[in-house]
Amino acid sequence: MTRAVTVFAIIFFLLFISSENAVYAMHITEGILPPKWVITWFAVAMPFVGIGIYHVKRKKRQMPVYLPLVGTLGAAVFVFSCFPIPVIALNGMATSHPCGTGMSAVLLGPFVSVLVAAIALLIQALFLAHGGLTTLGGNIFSMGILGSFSGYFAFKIAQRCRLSLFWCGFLAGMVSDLFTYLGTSIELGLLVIGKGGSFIKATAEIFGVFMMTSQGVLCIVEGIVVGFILVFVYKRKPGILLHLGLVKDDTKPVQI
Amino acid sequence: MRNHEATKDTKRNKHKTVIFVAFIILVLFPPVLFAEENIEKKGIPVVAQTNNEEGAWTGIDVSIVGKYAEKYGRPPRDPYINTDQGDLLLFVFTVAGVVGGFIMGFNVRKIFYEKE
Repeated sequence: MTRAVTVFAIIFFLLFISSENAVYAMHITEGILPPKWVITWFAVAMPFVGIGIYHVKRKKRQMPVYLPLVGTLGAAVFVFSCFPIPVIALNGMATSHPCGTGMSAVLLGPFVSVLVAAIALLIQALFLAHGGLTTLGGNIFSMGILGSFSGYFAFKIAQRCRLSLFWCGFLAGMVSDLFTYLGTSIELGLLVIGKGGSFIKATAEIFGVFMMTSQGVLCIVEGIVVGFILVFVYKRKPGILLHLGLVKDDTKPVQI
Repeated sequence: MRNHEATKDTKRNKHKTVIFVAFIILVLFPPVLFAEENIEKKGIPVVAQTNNEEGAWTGIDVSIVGKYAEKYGRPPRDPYINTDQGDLLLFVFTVAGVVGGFIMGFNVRKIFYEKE
């Protein structure tokens, strides 16, 4: 109990001090994407958001605690994805933010996680000068779709490999962060098409720069945070993980 | 009798939610929507005080995404609702942090600490 309070106090303290130097990270800013890609990414993202709404409606009937869980994780994804963390990497001092979609994908399911990310990104685009309205579809694709599904499948694969709950969460968080930035690199790499550049080369270059600067360190931090959150939920209320199908049977001890 | 009380409670909770949302809108919207307009009307010189300038602790959105977008001929432009002016961004980030923290704390308590 005391430990949980301390962890929350640290998170809020970091949030408070970081708000003075509000900065940005993976979000693609207004005006970067040309109209054809704006429409394409919106067309790709919207079906996932629609399915997410359907899943929320269905699951809230099956599990009473599901809506509060959506609220908690929605707020967490919102705060995580506009929470600049100072990182000292190869290029010196930089800041970047985690995504939180790995955690929400594991606990809510990938489709609901896309919905939660879409809402967070919309609020950030409207009020925090963070991302953009025309680039919302692109940001939902990278952070919502790629981040959520990669994190979810990484968790499932880690479970199949019989890794402990912490390491399953760690991989989910880390992989979702990596794939989010891979998505951003792909979206930027696509800009060279028709301008004589190589898409693969541009994508690889941007992704490499992301990893070498701040994101390489930050994806490990995100993995650790997700791992600890899953262990916390398991210790505090294992029934939630059982209901969500993340733990097969609560009579079997889960290796943490 | 119990049903009647439960309906009353639900109504009271709904009223509280409406008041809370109205409060947030009142606090958040006017500065966001009218800040730029008022500065222009009063002729106050706008100090270039954005966080987009590159330096120590620059966000990688500026140092990587912005740089590559510019290289590929699609430089970023100002958002439609530009809150990145002076302390306005600090204000909206603080409000967002407080509201986000409140929602998280409220639901964490409900899920993990309240008895069923």
